[in-house]
Amino acid sequence: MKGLLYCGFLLNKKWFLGAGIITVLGTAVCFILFKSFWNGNIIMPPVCGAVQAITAFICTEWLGRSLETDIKCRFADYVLVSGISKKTFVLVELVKNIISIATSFAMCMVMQLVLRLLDKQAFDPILLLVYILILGASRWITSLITISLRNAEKAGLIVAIGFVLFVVLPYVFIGVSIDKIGSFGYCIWYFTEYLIWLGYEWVLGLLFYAVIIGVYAIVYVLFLRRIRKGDVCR
Amino acid sequence: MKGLILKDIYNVRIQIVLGMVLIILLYIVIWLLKFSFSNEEIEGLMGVLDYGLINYLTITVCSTFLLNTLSDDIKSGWAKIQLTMPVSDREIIGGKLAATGVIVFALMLFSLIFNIIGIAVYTLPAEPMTMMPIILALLQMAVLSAVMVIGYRMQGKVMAVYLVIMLITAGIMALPVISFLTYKISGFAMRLIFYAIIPLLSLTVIILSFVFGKKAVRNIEV
Repeated sequence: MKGLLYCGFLLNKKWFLGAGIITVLGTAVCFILFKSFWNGNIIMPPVCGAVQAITAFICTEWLGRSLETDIKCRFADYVLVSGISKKTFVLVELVKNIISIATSFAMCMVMQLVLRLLDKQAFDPILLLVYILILGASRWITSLITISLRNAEKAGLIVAIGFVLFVVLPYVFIGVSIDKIGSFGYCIWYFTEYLIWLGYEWVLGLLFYAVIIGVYAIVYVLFLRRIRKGDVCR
Repeated sequence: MKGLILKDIYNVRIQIVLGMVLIILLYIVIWLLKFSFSNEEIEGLMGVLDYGLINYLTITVCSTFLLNTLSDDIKSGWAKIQLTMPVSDREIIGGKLAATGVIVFALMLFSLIFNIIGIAVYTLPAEPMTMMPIILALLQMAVLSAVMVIGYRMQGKVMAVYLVIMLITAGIMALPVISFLTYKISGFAMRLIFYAIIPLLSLTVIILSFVFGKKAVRNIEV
């Protein structure tokens, strides 16, 4: 397992290097610009948020691509017939995912800590953790679909379309038409508002973590079922 | 050469269609969000920035898939095999750049159609809405051409390098826009940058990529 992890990370170290370069350059440019020219400008949060999103994206982009390469060059098959169990193989993919999102979280935290010197509101680790966990879960689903499609880009696009279609669009639709519809969305909206009003925001946090852990667990089980020893490709 | 261009386009057609579906969904999200804003906000800066962001995503994300054709060519040994066929080095690199040009041009037209709808429906300013996709397409073409040549040198493993170059370019391009919005530079200076300097630089990079690419296609190890 250690060997599989080492080879995965060593072969793809340039992605982390790229993410590091973007973090350092992004932090330096944002810090200099917002300190010297646009101090207190309202565009600071979205610009810094975009740089953090890009860092996290680059840090985790290799996961699907690496799995695609492993499948196409039959490395995955060789691994599975050479004493590595299906569970270990899937666990390696999971550990890669967790280490990658943890690294991207650390990079974004460094950026936030530096930018906190300019604006205290720039430091928001809880919100960052939420975004990073959503990204990690979507990458984990992408890995599963990559096995079926044998193409990480198609898998990533399908996950992105699903995310926009089933998460972003309903969320926006509920937000826009809250005064016009009385439906399931209406109930969710008022349930959320009610919990915040009662001071039980932590319940929302727990629900979020439960959903993320649920997604990881379901995909783990599906992943195990999908892998057939000696024949990952078909 | 026609076969080389078609091969690259066929390889990425599903990804590009999926990318366009994603972009259409994003336009629907933006249109839904516009119900929550007042007319002044829609017609102003926010509207143009929304469209600019989606134009950027359309042109960069969907054309990025072409880089995979390069790494697939090298991995499968096709890059070496095609050197033995009756096509010159100029046609090989020309085919790659032409396929990139066709895809980027199609994506530019796709963005332009949505922008024109935006101009008609939300009365957004016509100049930035029509010029944004054209400038972005030129820039993306320049970045992709340069990265293709670097890709031949790096045996196709170029995606991380491409992302860093693309993002640094985007950051540099954002500087004059933000400076204009915060009244640091004039409208004339911004037009000079976007209508003269960037197109000239992009064309120079594309021509240089073609010239150096002719040598780079022979640099393949299988």
